[in-house]
Amino acid sequence: MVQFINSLFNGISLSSIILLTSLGLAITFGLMRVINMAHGEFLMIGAYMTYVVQQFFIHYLPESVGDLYYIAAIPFAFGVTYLLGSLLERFVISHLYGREIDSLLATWGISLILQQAARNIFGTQGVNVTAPSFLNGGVTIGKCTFSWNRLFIILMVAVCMFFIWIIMYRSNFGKQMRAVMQNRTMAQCMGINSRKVDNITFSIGSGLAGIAGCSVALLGSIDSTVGQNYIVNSFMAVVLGGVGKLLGTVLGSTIIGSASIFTENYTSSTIAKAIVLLIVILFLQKRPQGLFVIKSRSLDE
Amino acid sequence: MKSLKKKGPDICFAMIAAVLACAPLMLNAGILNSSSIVLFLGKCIAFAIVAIGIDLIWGYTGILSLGHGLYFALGGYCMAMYLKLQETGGGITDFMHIGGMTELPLVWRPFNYFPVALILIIAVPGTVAYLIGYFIFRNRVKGVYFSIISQALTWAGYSIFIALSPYTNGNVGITEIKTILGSIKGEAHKQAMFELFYISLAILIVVYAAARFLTSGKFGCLLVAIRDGENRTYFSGYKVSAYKNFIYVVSAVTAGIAGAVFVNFNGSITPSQMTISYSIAMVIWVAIGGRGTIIGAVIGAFLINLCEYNLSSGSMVEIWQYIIGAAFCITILFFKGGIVGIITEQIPAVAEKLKNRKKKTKEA
Amino acid sequence: MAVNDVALEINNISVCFDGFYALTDVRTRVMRNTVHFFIGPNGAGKTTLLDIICARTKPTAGTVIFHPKNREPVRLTGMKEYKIVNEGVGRKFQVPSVFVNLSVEENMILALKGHKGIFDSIFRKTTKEELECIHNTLKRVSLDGKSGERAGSLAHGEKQWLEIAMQLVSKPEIIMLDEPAAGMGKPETFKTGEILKEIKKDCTIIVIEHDMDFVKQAADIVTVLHEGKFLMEGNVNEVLADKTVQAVYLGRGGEHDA
Repeated sequence: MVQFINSLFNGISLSSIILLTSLGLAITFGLMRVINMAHGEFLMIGAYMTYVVQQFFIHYLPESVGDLYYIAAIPFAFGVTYLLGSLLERFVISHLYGREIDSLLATWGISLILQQAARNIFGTQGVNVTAPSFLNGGVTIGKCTFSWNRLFIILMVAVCMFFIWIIMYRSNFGKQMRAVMQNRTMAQCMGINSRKVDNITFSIGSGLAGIAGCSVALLGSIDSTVGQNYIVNSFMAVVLGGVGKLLGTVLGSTIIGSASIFTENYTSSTIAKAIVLLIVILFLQKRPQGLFVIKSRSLDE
Repeated sequence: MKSLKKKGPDICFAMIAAVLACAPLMLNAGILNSSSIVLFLGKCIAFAIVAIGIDLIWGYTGILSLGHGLYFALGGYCMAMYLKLQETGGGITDFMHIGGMTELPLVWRPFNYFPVALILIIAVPGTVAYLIGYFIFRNRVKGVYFSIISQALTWAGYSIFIALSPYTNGNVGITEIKTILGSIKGEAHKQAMFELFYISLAILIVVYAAARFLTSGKFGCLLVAIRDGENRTYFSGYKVSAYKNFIYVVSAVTAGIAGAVFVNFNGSITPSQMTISYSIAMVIWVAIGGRGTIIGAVIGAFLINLCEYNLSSGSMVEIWQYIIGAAFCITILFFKGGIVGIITEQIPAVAEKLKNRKKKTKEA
Repeated sequence: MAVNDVALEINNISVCFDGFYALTDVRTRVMRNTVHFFIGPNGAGKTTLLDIICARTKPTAGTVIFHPKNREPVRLTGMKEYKIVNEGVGRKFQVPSVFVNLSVEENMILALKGHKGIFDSIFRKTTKEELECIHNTLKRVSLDGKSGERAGSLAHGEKQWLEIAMQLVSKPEIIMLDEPAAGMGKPETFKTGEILKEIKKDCTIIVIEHDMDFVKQAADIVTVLHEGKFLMEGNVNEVLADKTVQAVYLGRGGEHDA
């Protein structure tokens, strides 16, 4: 029972990281039909930014505020990845609208460049951040211990999700975004600047990956390949959950995250990967078009 | 002019093959100074073979597989297991010993026999690809969804091969193996190395010819038809899922053969050959060479690997990652046809424009 | 009427998209060697009906039975689309969908009847008779001069012709045409009508069309659909004279006669 609750807890915290990364992927795919393979590298950048902020606090600020570095790192990581995302969209992604497979490949080229840049700047050895002291330890209920940093991650993701929900469904910008997603040409005719909508959406998605990077930094060492470890699962969550609907992404991420933690606990991480893949393939047997249905009078898009 | 366009790729391939065939002679004549270049060209031949396979499904059929490293490695492991057993004389290997085994595991036993090993080099990747393809294509999963699943497949395969360390030697892979013709190291075995090189070249030529045959007739038209309008092809009465699965298996088998060739020249095989980035590297060769033309895949594989071989030593190794990343990105963004496309379409188009402009200025 | 004169039976077809009934209990019969038109205002369910016949959409209820010449009847509902095509029921889609990167001739070769297996595609050579047939069909639609051109470079109207030609060369027993005259001028539309009248000797033709002149020219039987329901059926004059049809469709049909 204790093990079960612990797995559940770890599953939820992994799911929430996957959720943050897959959300950006799903929204950009739904909006622009673009898959961003460099998304994992935004996560990596977010993690490195946490490290940079920590170094800054250690070297230039009094020790008494040292613990606050993490609070500062979150907006900083978001800002940096948001800007990088905006640049990437402006110079690369905007040439790739509708070319799903090509977008996947071109962004892989970007990902190679970003990984090498990370190696050049931060070295090939992994770096570590020390979790702020207020995240040390955890709460113990009965025989189960819930560590503060995982609880914090879950909380942070919940807050992010809340903001995204507000932006998507309760703001003027969200209305425009959903309009472009459903019918780009029509939205443009209504006077929506779809270029701007695309750019902001893509940047927000990248920023979310940056925040995910902050949370990853709490869990282990950071190196240039840290993004790759999470991104495959995030892609699978997108396949499972479909695009354009928040709920789909939440469900997809939860299934992928919990499935991998549970199988990992009872077997091994190797079999977990195989089982997650199997789940997705089986799911596609049942609902191959359940992801999104294109209704159009032309045969092939 | 028209016949040149039709024959051009074959002539180009014949030239590449001829240059390759001269490489051992050049080594003998002292023009090439190190036998490692010939070994490297042998690896390039393997890369060209797998590139042809990727071009068949991506360039022609429009299915992007990010998991061909898996099939490449499966073929490679089959070959390596046979070669390793040649070394141990059928006994158990060091890593099995360390893994706690006392006798040869069942999966290794067939690899004692050369013909069986050869069959398995084709059968193992083929079967895996058939099963995966069957379940995915049957439900018309396509586009990026297929790519993502193929990526996850490689990922799972990679970690399984590492986890099964008593059978596969985990991270280290199967190392210190000779070739099917025995040792090729050193001056004494130069002849064996040349023979191996020519055998590989012959395999490349056969694979090239087969790919040209497949893509030239009605079948080739169908592949393009599936790429451009999958549903339309269904409504023309073709069972597209079967076609896709067939070409996927063909492509996986090609990758397996390439892996087997590669092992002979590389002397080892490791799970790093089945990572996602290794798989996408193969796609990069095809993209830069020119997708949708078999010759483009061959050119891309040789060109990129030769560049990498010459550049990625010393301080250049870091810059190489930037170069290849940027080149790939720019190719996809602006030169869809890769090098072949630039030669056959973009340059003539620019030339035409210049001609017209000259005419206009003259008229003015 | 003898049963063996029926080419296609549409029995009580209903289809429901998320609670919305696109078709409700539609039943009709298509007679062999006739040109059978389906007309109706936008949203009447005409295209959905064709989608069901060729298995692009699954019906919620009902069956479609195909009666081939000299063979046992075949139930089309529940079959895969490529099998339906091979049974001899072909369809041209509303938006022209030819294979843009193949030449006109290659498009036609892919459309030829039979030999759709992988082995045949790889090893079988297209015979002289087949090439001749392709050539003749292209001549009929005045595309014979363009057989080497990329299909993507054809004009919109020419793509329509090519798609019709691809249907013809596949020698189906039933051809379904979804707005064949869309994007064609008057003379071409007239020519299409003449071709339809000519080929109905060998097969059965189902057409969806808004152009009433075209309907008058070519139709043997007209079925009117309205809001997913069967409204009436008869020859052109009967249908045009009907009060309800005039009210729901023709009265505001002027806009379609572009």
